[in-house]
Amino acid sequence: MQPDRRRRIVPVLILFAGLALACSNRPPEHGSDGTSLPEGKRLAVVSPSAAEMLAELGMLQQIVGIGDFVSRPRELNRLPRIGPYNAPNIEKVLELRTDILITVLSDAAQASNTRLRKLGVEVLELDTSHWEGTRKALMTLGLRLDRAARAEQVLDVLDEAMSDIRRRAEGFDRPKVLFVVGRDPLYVAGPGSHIDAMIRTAGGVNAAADSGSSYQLVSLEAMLQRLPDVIIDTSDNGPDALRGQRPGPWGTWEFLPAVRRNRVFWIDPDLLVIPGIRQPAMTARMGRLIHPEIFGEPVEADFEPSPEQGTTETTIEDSP
Amino acid sequence: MRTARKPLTAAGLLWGVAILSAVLAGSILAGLSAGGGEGGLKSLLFPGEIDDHNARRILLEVRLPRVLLAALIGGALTVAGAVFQALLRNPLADPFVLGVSGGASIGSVLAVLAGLGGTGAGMAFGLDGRMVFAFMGALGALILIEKIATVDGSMSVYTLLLTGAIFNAFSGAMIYFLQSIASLVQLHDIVFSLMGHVPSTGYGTVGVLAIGIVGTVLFLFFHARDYNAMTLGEEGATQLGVDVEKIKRRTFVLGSLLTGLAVSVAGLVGFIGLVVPHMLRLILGPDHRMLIPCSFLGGASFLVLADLLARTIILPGELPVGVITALVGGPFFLYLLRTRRTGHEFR
Repeated sequence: MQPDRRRRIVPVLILFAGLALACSNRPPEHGSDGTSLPEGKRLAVVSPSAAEMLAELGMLQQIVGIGDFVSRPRELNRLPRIGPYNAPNIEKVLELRTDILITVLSDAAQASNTRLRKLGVEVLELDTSHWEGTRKALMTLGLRLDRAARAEQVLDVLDEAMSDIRRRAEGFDRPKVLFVVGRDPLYVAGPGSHIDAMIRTAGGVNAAADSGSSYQLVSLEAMLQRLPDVIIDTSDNGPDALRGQRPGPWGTWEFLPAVRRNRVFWIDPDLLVIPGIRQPAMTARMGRLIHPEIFGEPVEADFEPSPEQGTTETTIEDSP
Repeated sequence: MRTARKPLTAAGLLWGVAILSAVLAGSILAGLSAGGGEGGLKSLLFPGEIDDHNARRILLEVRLPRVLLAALIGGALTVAGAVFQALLRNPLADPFVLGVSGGASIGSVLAVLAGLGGTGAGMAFGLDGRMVFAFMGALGALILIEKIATVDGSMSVYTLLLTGAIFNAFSGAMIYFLQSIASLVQLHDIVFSLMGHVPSTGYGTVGVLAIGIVGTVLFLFFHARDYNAMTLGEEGATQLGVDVEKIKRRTFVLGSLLTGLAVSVAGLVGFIGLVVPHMLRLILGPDHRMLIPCSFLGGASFLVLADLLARTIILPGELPVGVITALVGGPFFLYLLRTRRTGHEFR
C-alpha cells in the first residue's frame, strides 16, 4: 500500500472506531435517581400520564427509558429516550433490557406493541384520556407492579379532591366556558374530552358542548354568538407566548361577557390539557378560572410559562 | 363533430368577464348569507331592521373578511394553475407543482417551532408570524428553484418541473423531520398550519393580499397573448416574436408569487388550481386573454362557495376547505370532461 493512501486511511479508521464506540451505548445499570436498580422489573414508559403515576407509586427507580413526550417528573429526563408512543424504538427498548413497556392505548401503536410482545417485552396499554380511564390505569399499574395498596391510597386522595370540587361548585350559576386549544383555525375542547369533564366538575358549561367530537374545529362566528363568560386559551406557545388574565386578541370582541368582565385566561397547555393523575389539581385550577367566588382568584402558578423539556418538574401544587 | 371555436373578440371577453363577475358577486352574497352566526345578508343590507348589533359586527368583522380572503386565495391559486399549465404545457400542472408551496410549508412549520406561529408573535398588517415565515419560505424556494433551473441563462421547463418535484419531495422530508422533533403541542399547530383552511383574519390581511394578488394577476393578463403563442411550443412562440425566456421566467416568478401568497395565508388548499382552469378551458376555450381574468373570477367564486360549505355543513364545527374543493370539484370536473369535449381541453 502506498504511504499516502495509508495516511488517508488512518483518520477514516479512527472515525469508524469513534462511531462504533458511540453506537455501543450500553444500557444503563442505574435508575432515574442515579442509584443501582433494585431487584424487580425494568420499566420503559412512553405515556406522560403513566410516568407521573409511577412516581406516585414510588417506582421511579425501576424506570430505564422514557418516551419522547415524557417530561415529568424532572429526574426522568436523565434517562434514554425511546421514541414516541406510536413508534417506539424497538431496538432501544430491547437494548435497555425492558421487561414492561408502559404505553398509551392507541391504534397507531398496535403494530409496534405486537412486535414487542413477540420479542418478549410485556406491553401495558393504559387509557388515560379521561378520568375513569386514569383511575383504572392507576389501579392496573398498582396491581401489576405489586403496589396495589399504595395505588388505592393515592386514588382515595384523588377521588376525595374531585368530590370536594364537585360539591363546592354545586348550586352556583354555570358560566359558559370556551376552552381554546388552537386559534387559527379555531379548535376547541368538545364533549367527551377530559377538559369538558373538568369544566362541568368545576361548575361551568362548555360553550362547544354540542360540537361533534372531543376536540373540534369550530366556527368562530358560532362561538362568538354564544357569548362565552369565560375564555381559557391554551393556543399560544413559544418564548413570547401570552400568559395571564388579559383579553389579548379576544379584546377585539368587547361585547363578549368574558372580555367585558376580564375573564380571558392565557394558560400553558401543560397545566390543563395533558390528562392524567394531575386532573384533580387541574380541575381545581379550572375552578379558580371559572368560579373565583368559590375557589378563589387564580394564583401565579396558574400562569407559569411552559418549562423546556428536560427541566420540567411536578410542582408541589400539582402533586396529589 | 368538433366545431372550431370563434376567435375571441373584445365583446366576447367583456361578456365572459361580466358573467363571471356576476357569478362572483352572487357567490359573495351567498357566502355572506350564512355562517356560524345568526346575522345574515339581511342585517348587512338592512341594518335598521336588525337590533342585534353583535350579529352585525360578527358579519362585518368575521364573515365578510373571510369571504373576501377566500375569493382572493381562490383567484390566486386558479390563475397560478392556469399559467403554470401554459408554461409547462402539461395538463397536470397545478400551483404546487413547482415546489414553492413546499418552501411555504417549511416556513410555516419553522414559525411554529420558533414559537412565532401563535397569537403572541405580534402582527403587522394583519399578518401573523406564521404567514410571514411561510411567505419568506415561498420566496426562498422561488429563488433557489429559479437558480437551479437556469442553466447558461436559459430556463428549461423540464429542468424546472424536475427541480420543483425534487424540491417538493425534499420539503416533505424536511417537514417530517421537523415534525419528529416537535413537541406534542407544536405537532398540533403544525398539522393545522399545513391544512388548507381559509382563516378568520382582519381586513389588514385582505388588503395586503389584495394588492399582491390583483397586481400580479393584472400583470399576467397583459402577457396573455404570449401564453397563447406559447401553446405552439417554444419554437413557434419565438417565431411569433415572443421573448420566450423572459416569459418563462416571469411566469414562474409571478405564478410562484401568487402561490406563495395564497399558501402563506391559507395553507395547502388543493385541487382548485388544477381543476378550475381546466373547467374554464372546457367551457370558454383556450385563449388566455379570456382564461386568465375568468380563472381569477371563477376560482374566486369556487373557493367562496367551497368555504361557505366548509363552515356551515357541520355547525358549530367546520371542515377544512380542501375537503370540499376535492369532493365537489372532482366529480363536477369529471362530468364536464365527459359531456363537454371540445378539443380545446388543453393545448
